[in-house]
Amino acid sequence: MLEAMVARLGPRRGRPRLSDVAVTLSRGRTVLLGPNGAGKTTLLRALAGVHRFEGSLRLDGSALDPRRPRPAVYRRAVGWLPQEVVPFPSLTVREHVAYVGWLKGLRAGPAWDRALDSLAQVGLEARADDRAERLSGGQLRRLGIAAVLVHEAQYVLLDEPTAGLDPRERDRLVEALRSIETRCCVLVSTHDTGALLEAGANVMVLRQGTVSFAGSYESFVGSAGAGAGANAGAAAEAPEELLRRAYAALVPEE
Amino acid sequence: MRVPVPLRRRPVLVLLLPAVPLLILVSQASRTSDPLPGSWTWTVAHSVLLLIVPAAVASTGAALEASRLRTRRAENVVNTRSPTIVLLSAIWPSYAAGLLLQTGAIGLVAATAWGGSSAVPAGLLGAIAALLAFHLAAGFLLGSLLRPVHAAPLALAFSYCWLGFTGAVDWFAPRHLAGLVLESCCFYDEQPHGLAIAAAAAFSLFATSAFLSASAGLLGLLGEPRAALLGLPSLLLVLAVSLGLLLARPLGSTATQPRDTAGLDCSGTRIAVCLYPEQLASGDPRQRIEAMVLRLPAALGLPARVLASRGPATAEGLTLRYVPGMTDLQIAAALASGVQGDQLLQCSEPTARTIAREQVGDALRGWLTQRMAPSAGGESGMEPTAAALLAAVLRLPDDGQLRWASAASASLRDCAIVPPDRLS
Repeated sequence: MLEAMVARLGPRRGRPRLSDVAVTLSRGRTVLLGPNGAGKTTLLRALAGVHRFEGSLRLDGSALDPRRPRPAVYRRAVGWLPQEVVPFPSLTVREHVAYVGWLKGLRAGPAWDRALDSLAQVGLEARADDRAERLSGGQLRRLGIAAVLVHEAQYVLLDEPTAGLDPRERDRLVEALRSIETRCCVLVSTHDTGALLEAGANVMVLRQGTVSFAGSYESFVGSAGAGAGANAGAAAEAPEELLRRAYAALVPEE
Repeated sequence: MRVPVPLRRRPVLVLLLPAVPLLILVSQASRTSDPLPGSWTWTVAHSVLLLIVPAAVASTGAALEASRLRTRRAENVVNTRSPTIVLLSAIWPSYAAGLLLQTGAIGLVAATAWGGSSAVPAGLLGAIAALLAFHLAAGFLLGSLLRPVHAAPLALAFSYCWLGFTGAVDWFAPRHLAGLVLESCCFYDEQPHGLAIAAAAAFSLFATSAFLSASAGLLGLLGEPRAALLGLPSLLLVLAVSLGLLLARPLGSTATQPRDTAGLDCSGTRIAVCLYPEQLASGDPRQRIEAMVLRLPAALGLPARVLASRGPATAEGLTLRYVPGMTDLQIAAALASGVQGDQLLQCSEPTARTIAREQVGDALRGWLTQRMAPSAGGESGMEPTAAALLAAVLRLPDDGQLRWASAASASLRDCAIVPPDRLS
């Protein structure tokens, strides 16, 4: 289990980018919602180890100092996919994944072997020998996920993985995620509630650097239902509409 | 054994394709028909003239390698692999290619050298390796800062400009930092100046550390915050320049210092001919040289000793720029230059007289050469007017030739003496 309490992250003076954000990642999917600028990417980067913060951090029960660079065991356990996946110039898909595995501490031989398994998990094994630069946007996202999986990360942080994808690529990516989250803890930030917010997931909503909601999918949807209690037809509403209304209730238009 | 990035994906491999013929082309362009010392010291030092090609390959290759890591600057912060290993893995092929090409450059220079031998100059080799590392690190830094489309040509231009600019300025200290001045080393009577090697090596190594640590910071390999990490590289660069200039301060325009004359091996009955052991490795020419010098008219003043040196004649004796394998004609021409002296007399006089003095100098050198090596044929490549003057002098009776030679020799040492014409 990965537990973080980001008491403060940001400049010493002025408004922090994140404050009092508590995150607990356990097996399955946690969906991170929030408007642009709410701090979703900052939170993912903080959990990945890119940013240091004041607060507390525990990995599988071991306390770590979040103000210091993360130890190797943490870096191996946590995989992070940024919003933009840029392929390494002139490398093939498999070489790209293997090189990331090597950068993450694997020896070159095992990294090469595991690269193919990782590509299979995201449905890219058929493109293993193609140049990575030739992949489409959606395939690049899956390549990025394969690169996270190659070093057997237990905690996978995905930053808006479905942004800009066509429906077919989006479905492929969600399918890959379903398989991954059976054995990993996945934290995914998104605006795409329709694709990624499913029953059984945990939901966390950020607004202006603080948590405005954290709970299960059911309680998130329930919050919309409660807000619409006067509406007799609420129960019959489509899930997408419920999610939209729940989100709107937590993050009103500014 | 599998490597992180397969060798065939390394950009430097592509760069080697044009670099090899270019290196051969540059070596041919700088080729000379003059006899060249074949000692390892001279060969290795002169290979610095070809450094431009290996340095450009190393810097451009490194710039392109850096671009690979630059694509994931943000993720590099959370790499598990040590930054040093990641950097070494990125730069070794470019460095190896640079070293390989420089080895080829040494081979090309050795192929044009004449003969002789000496111990392999480890100091010079180390300095050249450091110079290559400097170019490599500069390219890597450019690749860390800029997109490859800009970084690669800039890295190429940087190598060319750094070597070219420092070779063009009159202030010699930067030349010692760039290392190009090492090519002035060394005739048999010289040895590499320890300070020249130290200046080039120290500057290169500290600057390399500065550039590589700056690159590691820019690429996110050292974690956050990147801006603060640039303090160490700046400090290292200041240290590199300061130390390099400090070491180069006592040096002049060359990277050499005189060799101990105790190493000279002298032989001769009337005139001692002194050469270094490296010059005797492929045969002993001292008897031949003594016989040539003895053919000089005593009126011109016979030297007591002939010393191996490319410097001007000294009170100790006549200097001879002898390279193993020289023909009699070449030895005689070298001795004639020693008799006459390499320094051209600078006189405030009408241009016509200056030209006449130069022609007399050329003709005198030809006359001395023929006198010392009468069976070797005439010296070719002489300016036509000087050649005509020499021919006219040679038609004079022997005492007339001697009178002309004495007057000509005197006119080359004293501006007040008018150069003799052919009929005097």
